[in-house]
Amino acid sequence: MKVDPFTFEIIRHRLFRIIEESIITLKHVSGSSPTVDGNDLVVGLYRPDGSLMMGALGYLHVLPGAGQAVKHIIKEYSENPGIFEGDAFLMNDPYVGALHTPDMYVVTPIHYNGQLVAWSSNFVHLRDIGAINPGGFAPDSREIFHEGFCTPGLKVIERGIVKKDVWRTMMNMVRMPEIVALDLHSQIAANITARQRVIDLVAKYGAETVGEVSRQILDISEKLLRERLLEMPDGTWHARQYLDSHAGTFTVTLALTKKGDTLTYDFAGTSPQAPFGFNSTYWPVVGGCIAPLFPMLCFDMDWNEGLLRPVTVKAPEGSIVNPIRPAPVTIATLSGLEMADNVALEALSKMLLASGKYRQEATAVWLGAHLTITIYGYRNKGYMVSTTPENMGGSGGARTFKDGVDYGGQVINPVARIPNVESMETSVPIMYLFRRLIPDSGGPGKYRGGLTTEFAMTPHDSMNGSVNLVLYGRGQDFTQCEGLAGGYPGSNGAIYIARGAGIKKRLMDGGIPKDIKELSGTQTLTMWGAQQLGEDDFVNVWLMGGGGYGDPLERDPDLVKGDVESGTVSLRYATEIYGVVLDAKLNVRAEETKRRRDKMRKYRLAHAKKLSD
Amino acid sequence: MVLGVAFVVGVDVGGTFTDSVLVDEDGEITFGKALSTPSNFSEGVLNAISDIAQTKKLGIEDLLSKTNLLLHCTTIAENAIITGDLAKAALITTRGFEDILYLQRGAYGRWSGLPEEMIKHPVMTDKPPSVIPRKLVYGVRERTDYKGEIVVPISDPEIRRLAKGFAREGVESVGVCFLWSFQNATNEKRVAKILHSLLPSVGVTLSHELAPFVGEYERVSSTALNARLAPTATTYLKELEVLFSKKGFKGTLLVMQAYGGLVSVKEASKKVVGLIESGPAAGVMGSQFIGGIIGTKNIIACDMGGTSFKVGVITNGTFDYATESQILRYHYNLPKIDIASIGAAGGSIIWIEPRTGLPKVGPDSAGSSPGPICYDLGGEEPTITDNNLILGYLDPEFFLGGRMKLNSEKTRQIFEKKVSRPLKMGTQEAASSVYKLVNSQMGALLHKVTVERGLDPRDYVLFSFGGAAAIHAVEFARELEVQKVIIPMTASVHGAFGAISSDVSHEHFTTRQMDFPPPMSEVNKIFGDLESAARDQLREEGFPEKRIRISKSVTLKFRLQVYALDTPIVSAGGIITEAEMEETGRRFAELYEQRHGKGSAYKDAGMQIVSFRVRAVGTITKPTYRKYEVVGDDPGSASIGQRDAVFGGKTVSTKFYKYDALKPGNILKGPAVILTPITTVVIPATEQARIDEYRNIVIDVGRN
Amino acid sequence: MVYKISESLVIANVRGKLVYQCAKCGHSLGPADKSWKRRSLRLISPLSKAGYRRSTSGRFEMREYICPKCAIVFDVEVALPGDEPLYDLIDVATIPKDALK
Repeated sequence: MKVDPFTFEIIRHRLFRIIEESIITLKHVSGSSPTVDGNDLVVGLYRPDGSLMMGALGYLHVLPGAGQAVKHIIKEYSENPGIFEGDAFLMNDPYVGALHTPDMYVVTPIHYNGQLVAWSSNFVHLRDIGAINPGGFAPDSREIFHEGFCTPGLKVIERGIVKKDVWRTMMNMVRMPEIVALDLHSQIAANITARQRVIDLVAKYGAETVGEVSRQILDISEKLLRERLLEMPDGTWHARQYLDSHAGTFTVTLALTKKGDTLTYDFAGTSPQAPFGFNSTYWPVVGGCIAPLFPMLCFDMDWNEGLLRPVTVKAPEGSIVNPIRPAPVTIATLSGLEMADNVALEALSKMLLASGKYRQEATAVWLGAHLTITIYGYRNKGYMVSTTPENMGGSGGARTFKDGVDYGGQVINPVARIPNVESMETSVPIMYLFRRLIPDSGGPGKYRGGLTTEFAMTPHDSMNGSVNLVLYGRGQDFTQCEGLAGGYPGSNGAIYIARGAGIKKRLMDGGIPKDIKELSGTQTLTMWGAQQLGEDDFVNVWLMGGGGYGDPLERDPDLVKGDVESGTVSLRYATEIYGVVLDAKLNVRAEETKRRRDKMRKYRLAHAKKLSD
Repeated sequence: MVLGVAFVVGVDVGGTFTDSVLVDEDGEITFGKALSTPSNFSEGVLNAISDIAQTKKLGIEDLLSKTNLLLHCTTIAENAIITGDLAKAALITTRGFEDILYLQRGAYGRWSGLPEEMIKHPVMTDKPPSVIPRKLVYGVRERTDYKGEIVVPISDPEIRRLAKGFAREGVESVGVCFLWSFQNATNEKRVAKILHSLLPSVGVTLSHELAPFVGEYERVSSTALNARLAPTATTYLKELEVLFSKKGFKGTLLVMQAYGGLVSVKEASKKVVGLIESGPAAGVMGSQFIGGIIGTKNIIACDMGGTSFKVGVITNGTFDYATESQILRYHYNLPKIDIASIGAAGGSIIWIEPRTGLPKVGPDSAGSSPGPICYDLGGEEPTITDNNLILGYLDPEFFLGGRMKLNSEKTRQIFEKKVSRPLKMGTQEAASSVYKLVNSQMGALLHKVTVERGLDPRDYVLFSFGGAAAIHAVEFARELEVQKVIIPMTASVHGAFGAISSDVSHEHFTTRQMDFPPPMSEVNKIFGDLESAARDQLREEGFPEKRIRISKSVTLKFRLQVYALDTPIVSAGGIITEAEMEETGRRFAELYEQRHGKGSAYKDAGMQIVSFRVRAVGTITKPTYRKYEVVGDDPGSASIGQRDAVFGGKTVSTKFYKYDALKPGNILKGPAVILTPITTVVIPATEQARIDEYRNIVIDVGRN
Repeated sequence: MVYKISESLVIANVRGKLVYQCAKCGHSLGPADKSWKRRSLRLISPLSKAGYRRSTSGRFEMREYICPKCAIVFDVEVALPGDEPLYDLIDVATIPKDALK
């Protein structure tokens, strides 16, 4: 069937607007900060067979799993209980395709004149799911059974009526059911918006035409990606990241092979599954592979299932990136999956560097690992809980032509933003001591990685003067933002608990010093478990700087001068790492710089060894 | 100041033109126009007024001496940001948070304001440079908490040291922004006091005065923008006053603010950020005024020109305020009429995607330079304007009232080469299809605007302004299922018209978080203070009691939900009662669900008051929107003949009319085109337009 | 003419044979159908060499693979001591012909 190019373009454009309006509804009805600000959501439209037609700009690594949710519901439940007009299904089982249990999918079929014409599916990160720890990440979990309410597909609305027994059962199993209910309402409303607008579109252009356009949209994306892959050489590129946990070191290894117009991501060599929730199931890992692929190589294509067709993902069963049920996966999005995102980006960047035409698209790792903590406590008898948002600000990896963007976010979720300090100070009973850049955090290189931030908080106006923390962090040993093509890695993350710092008194007397080491008391690196902060204590979290690009000794000395002037790089490292000599007025001493750099190169040659040694 | 006597003149500086409107004692309106002069805006302003003087056969000094009110919308602020004409400013902020301005809330600064195509391509995106560079940001010892308690006071010696440093470094302007300053401004005020005493000639912007709202990033960004803009904008306004005075003007110069009120030069100089987008704000005021006259309460006002497409919404005769504002990717948070921006306009480029052969509209734009091909200024890419020329909707000889001749030949040639031939279509067919595509896409973007605001377009009337909107307006209306399209008589100068249909207005706030229902004694105390400050201010400006109008509102939100809404308080007397407050709470919940959808209000979480607001209006006598005698339905005398134009893919012999000669009562059956000095009104075959008694063009969509 | 593989690495046609070369000084790093890394030199340092707030636990090491002649850094790995280097391979037959005349 031939659709004229203008009608095609009108329908294609309209489908994207439908998703936008669906997201607007989602945010409007929810009104919650993680959804509205953090953009921790995904909305997608699917063809009747469950293939992704059009995906929005959210957390890209969700898209393949969301498609699996739809396909699974079609396969398993078409006959029993059946799929009817006006239905809605819940799905959050990581072993079917969800990332982890708090990420709840709501899947709605769209019918026109009794015929199934599309699906609308979305997910949000629910604030609680009834796991062994409150708040959505459960460090105490040892198996999926500790991770709260978990369904591989459950009809929650039938023919437009909410099923009371299903609804009540779910609310019975979660903490803060009113907030969870609100989020679910917003997801249902978003799908209703999408459904109505798709029906309007089909009514105007006919089911056959819209169906044909949606089929062709996928074929076009597939064709464009295959054509692009054929423009570059074949090869195999490797990347490896480590999970430095309290329970040992786990390795995620990736070999990315491009052959002709196909890409194969092979995770052979990855560590066996972990006893804690670091694991990530298979479909999210597929998401992790394509999440950097879409914005780095497919930026001018529609993001849909067509782009998945040239891609194969192999993940060894029983490994951290394809655990066997009932392995725990609660922290997947901050560990296993995140590492898959990172190695996929690293390997892809190396491939792009050798691609000729697309070299400029390569970039070092951004953000590294989401280092966030759950805080909860009471203020004026009200229970308050939140996760710290600063990690979403990330750090930009260096590019082949420019530095990484300071606090530039991440590649795989293009539109996030963090709440204000003032927002947080009324969401949880704390007061910030600072939220500021970390100088020298960017990975050195010809182009440096972007800086990241650190923050510190102390209990404030909280019951008993204390707050509770749930910690599930990593990244204190392995530098998550590795450099590219000779660039150095960005800074490590860390969580420090400071006790007996006499914070309140210190604030009263003289305010916060520039260096918190000046404060009294003990500061301990504490990455995992439950902790309590008292009035005299504070928590300090360091995020991770972006990876650098190219040998630091090749960086233009004028750029280094600018770095020192702006406080981005310290004078010490300007000399020690970049080999640039500046005078008292911070002018570049060209001769001395050349001599120093030559000396540093001689040192390298003197101390480097052959690989066989 | 004398009000409501002699001439009132409004002037709006736009991207291409500076428009002017004069209203005399009888309510008679005269329009004027001149090219804008960005290198020295006041030149264009005077020229636009001279244009009116000429029409009225007066000398400019004569006209100005009879003018009592000069109402001005200026683009000086936006322009300064674009050209970089910004003062050297320093920022004083809470120690530990010096980087907040630079951080731009994480990735937010990197992607906001970019088209979707760029957002999908993060490696190629960057944040705009920080408004004030880090080396001019100074964190000082101080801290206020969320309740407004001073946790750490100011250290005077520290501020004095800074001040001396500023003097040495030649700092021209200072911004001060502390955390929670709007809850308790003690520390900011202390700093201001010290700075004023040591640096009397340096302007100081205080965040609690400028933008007393929660959210330190937007507040510090507003403060920084204001500090950098203040010297340029203040100088411009002062010089304008002097210039007018020299030319015989003895009246009052008032300046439009983005929240839709006029303020004195003194007031405007304190909050120059409020000047940003004052032109579009005036446009909305004008739509509101016209709507009030003709009895239309729900309006979607579309202003599409060559480079921008702005949409304002009026519901029940009022409009909403924006909660997040941007100027060129910089964020700020000042009271501002909510105006949406559609990412396509007349200059959007039509192109064929080489790999797929699909036709696309934008996001690239030819802008005003090099502009559409037909402008003959070097543009080589077909634009929406070029497409409209090919369709026969534009008169190449009469474009912009004859000021510009269009090159049809070149346009057709390039369009054929770049669009119709790659598509293997005839030129007419291709242009017609492009028109459909453009209308569908822009219609969908307009629809999104209505969804974002929770309104049903079927209850609205579409007003059309700007050089390009009326060519597409009926099609937009069909997309949205809007019932009526109106091109107001004042469309060609609607910014200036909006200025003269506005009042002097001031916003007074106190941001204070309180559980709802609140203690009424405290509420009434807060409002009492706000109201007396408001009345004092208007009295000082010369308004008698009978011209002062006070309205009160509270901004409410549900706990756990981020969206806050300004909710009017209806109160019988000066003191607000408990019952009236309860009613306000009910009204808020209703408005919330109207805006955000049924079931969206999380009532069980409880409500909170976020801020208290008093809007103080000093009324100015408005122009009379004159009613004309209805003459008859035959538009024959305005006809300039039949021409070929494309409708529904076919060339159709179309009647062309000149607007100036049309009379109230005239009915024009489509297909027809009305030529006005700044735009063309396209009436499709199945529609008809009529001229109402105000000389507005009205199209009742789908009635035939 | 050379074909750029990375910031400081190229594949060059040297008398009909395709070899890896340092992009800066031209030093040969062996045939292009094997990894260039094997012919580079490796400098192992603690992570703190990369600057402030890098881990001092010693759990991981920073490996710089450098040109044996001019010492430019081709690639950096952060790895567990003892873990194998990562060897990337290009199928030289698929490099565009006109890039390597």
